Amino acid sequence: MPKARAAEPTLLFEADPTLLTTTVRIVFLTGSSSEPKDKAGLANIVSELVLRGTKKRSRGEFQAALERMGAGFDVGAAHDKTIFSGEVIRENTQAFFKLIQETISEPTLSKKELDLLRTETLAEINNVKNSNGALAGMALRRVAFEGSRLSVSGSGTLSSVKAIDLADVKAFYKQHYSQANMVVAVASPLPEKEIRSLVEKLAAKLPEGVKNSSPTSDLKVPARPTLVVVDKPGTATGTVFMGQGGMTAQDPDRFAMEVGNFSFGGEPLVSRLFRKVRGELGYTYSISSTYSAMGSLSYQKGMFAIVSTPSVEFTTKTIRKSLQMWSDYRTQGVDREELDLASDSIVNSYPFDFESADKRLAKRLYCHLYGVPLLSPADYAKTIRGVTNDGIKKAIAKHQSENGWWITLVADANAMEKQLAEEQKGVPAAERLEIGMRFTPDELVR
Amino acid sequence: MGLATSYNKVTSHKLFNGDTLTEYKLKNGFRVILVPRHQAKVLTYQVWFDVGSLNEKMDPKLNKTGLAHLFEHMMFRGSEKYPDGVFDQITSRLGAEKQNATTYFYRTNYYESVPSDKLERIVELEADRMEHLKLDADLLEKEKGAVVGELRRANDSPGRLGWDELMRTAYQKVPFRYTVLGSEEEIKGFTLEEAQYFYKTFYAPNNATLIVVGDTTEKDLLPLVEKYYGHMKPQQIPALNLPEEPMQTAERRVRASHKQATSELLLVGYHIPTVEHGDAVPLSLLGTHLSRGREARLRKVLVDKGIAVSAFGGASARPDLFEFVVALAEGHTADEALKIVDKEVRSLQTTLLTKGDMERSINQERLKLYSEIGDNSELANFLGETLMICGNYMRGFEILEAFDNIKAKSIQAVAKTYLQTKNRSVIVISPEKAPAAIAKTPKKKTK
Repeated sequence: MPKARAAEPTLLFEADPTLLTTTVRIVFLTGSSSEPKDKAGLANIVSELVLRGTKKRSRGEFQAALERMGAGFDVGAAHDKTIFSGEVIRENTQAFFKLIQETISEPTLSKKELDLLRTETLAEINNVKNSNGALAGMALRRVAFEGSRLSVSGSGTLSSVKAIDLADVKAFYKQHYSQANMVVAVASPLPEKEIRSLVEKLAAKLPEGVKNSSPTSDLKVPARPTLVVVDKPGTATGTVFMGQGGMTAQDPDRFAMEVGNFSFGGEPLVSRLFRKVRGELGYTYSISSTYSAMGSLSYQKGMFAIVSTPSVEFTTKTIRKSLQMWSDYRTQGVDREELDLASDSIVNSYPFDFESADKRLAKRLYCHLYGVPLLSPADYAKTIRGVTNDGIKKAIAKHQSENGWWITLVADANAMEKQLAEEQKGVPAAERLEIGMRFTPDELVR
Repeated sequence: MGLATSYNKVTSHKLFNGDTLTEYKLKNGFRVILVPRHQAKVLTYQVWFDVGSLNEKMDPKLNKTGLAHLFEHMMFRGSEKYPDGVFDQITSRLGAEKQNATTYFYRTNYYESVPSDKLERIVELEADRMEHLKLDADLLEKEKGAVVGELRRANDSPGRLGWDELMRTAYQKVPFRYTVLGSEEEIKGFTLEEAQYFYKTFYAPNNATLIVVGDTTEKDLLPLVEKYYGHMKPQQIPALNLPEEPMQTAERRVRASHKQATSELLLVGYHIPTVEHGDAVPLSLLGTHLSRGREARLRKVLVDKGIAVSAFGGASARPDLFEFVVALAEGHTADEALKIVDKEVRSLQTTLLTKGDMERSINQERLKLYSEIGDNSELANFLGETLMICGNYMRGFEILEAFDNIKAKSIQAVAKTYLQTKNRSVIVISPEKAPAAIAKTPKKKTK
């Protein structure tokens, strides 16, 4: 792997002379985990402001120049990284690099743009209340990562965004936007030498800096399944999130856990959850499970989640059935046929990770950022086919809980309470699901 | 292998990115479009049927909507040879990606991407469910439950309600006014006989197109297509005789409320001509000017000012409308947004776009297409959708080529011709607790 140092910026390059466009990803190793505790949303605000005017051009002039050349350039901040992603029609690659060099190394970071952006961001945060899926996800974050920066989304809350001032923005930019924190990935029809020269010019404009170590947060799980309801009267269906601790990208057990999860809930049409809860019982339109519930797997231990969208009358039945199936899977693992199907499918679909220059680049970038090896198809097949049911059971027993589930959903809380009572009439008190916590949509964004 | 003479090469096109597209037709009317690409050992396989909710509504034997979509679900429920669940298991084992199906007003498609050495297996499986689907009463009832769940989920979305209201209001005669998903009552009422009739009538080789993009060749693909599809019998497909939509002569306004909305939503739809019409070119560019990129006009006047969280304006085909969709920020009203949209429309009608605006819009269109068609499944989608909309899969490329000669006055002309108040429907969706502010028609009670 290339090393990150001042004179030699880290560049991952994919050549493809047939491409009609050049795609660029500029990654800074900083995100919401690096924010001061009371300034949630700062990484997102700073990244957006970088695109809103340079020392030479106003925001409008910059964007107009960019878009007129047939380019787009956007940004997204995650918990541990900020990615500027752009694409330009091939003939304008040089001019595009000049513009992005200008915006990344010489942003204005003006008070006027901060005030405008804050207004937009507050509107977006409020608008999340229109989405039941997003609300249920926010409730899950809130309880599982309570007390840490990850307890709220990358956009922050109404109060934290209001608290961000220009001094915060400038300090954050100065500390984190440096050569040491930058990784550049490019797929282009142009020669690598030409692209490297452009990237070096960009890096030279940034301070050398110090590489960040992204802090991680602990994930809290309850002793028994705990229902958390976001109260929204009149809801006919809702996204149900059942979440507990997952794994990191580097975990040696990750292959066993992914193969097992393929059969349990990971592969929508053939998994146990889908076939039983959707196919046989018809409780829900969709149901699946994933280890990427809080974004892609990283150095942060993420969340394992079962996500379903039942009609309101089947909510309790869906949750109880999912819990029972989890318990069975955790103790018995998968059968031979399931294991073979999972291995075949995962191995046979591996070529899709490399089907285009952009996908190859994305794969290499992920491996670089998270210190995981990029396996050849042969090595990958060997690793996947080496997974056994014993390995799956041991990995799950080691990493995951039988009962430590947060279950969050958007529902009419009173109706949900009645349904729980009705559906659990014969169930012993100790095994009953009960509403442990309630939020209003306003409480989640406040 | 099938006879080499049972298919014809209909036409061939060199695409601007260097790909070659060839169209073939089997004797039974089954159309095949092939774009070979050998950069990776994978391919996308898509089967498009020229049937959607418009057909079922216009069919006197059905006269309702929802079956086309429910039937799409049944296509995953097994055949005699491959019972329920087996199709999915086999395709999964093959390593299939992006496997799914969708239904819309005018078409239904089934698709997956597979490693290219699995080509014959996927041809066989897709042909099998097209010909030998086992329609089982018990499975039909189970699938109705899932589809009702999908419908309820859609109905929980204020945006979905807004769009359904726009279609109902903009179209008085053409069955775009009926939803693709149908009503809960319609879904629950479908019988096995209706499903069988639908399958036999519309899932015929002369009503289907196969699109393959990726690592294969005519030599490898066509013999397999002949082998598995060549013997299927063509059917008499009922002609889709849509009623003529009377020209709209006065603005229509509807205000509805949604229990779960927390801010207002504005939708405006102007009738425009079909995509084959010459005005589709400037209308497409007008949509890009208004909506694409951070310099998009609607973003600047609505989102950047904190009035809306998102704003879109652009042309759609089948239904042929120029739509504006604005999701308001809390504390702002649809009335406020409509005034801003109207001001923008007046500006487009009276002032020519600058050279810079034109250059931006044309290059943004180019970027979008260049970016999309590099991906096998995106190119297949692009061709299939365009084919189903207008019968000419090259139309999207023709529109792009026409940008070279377009002038700002053409944009102004279409804004004047089509974006007229009398030619539009305005829908406002409000939170239930908020009082109506701009309603001119009685408030409509909804879910």
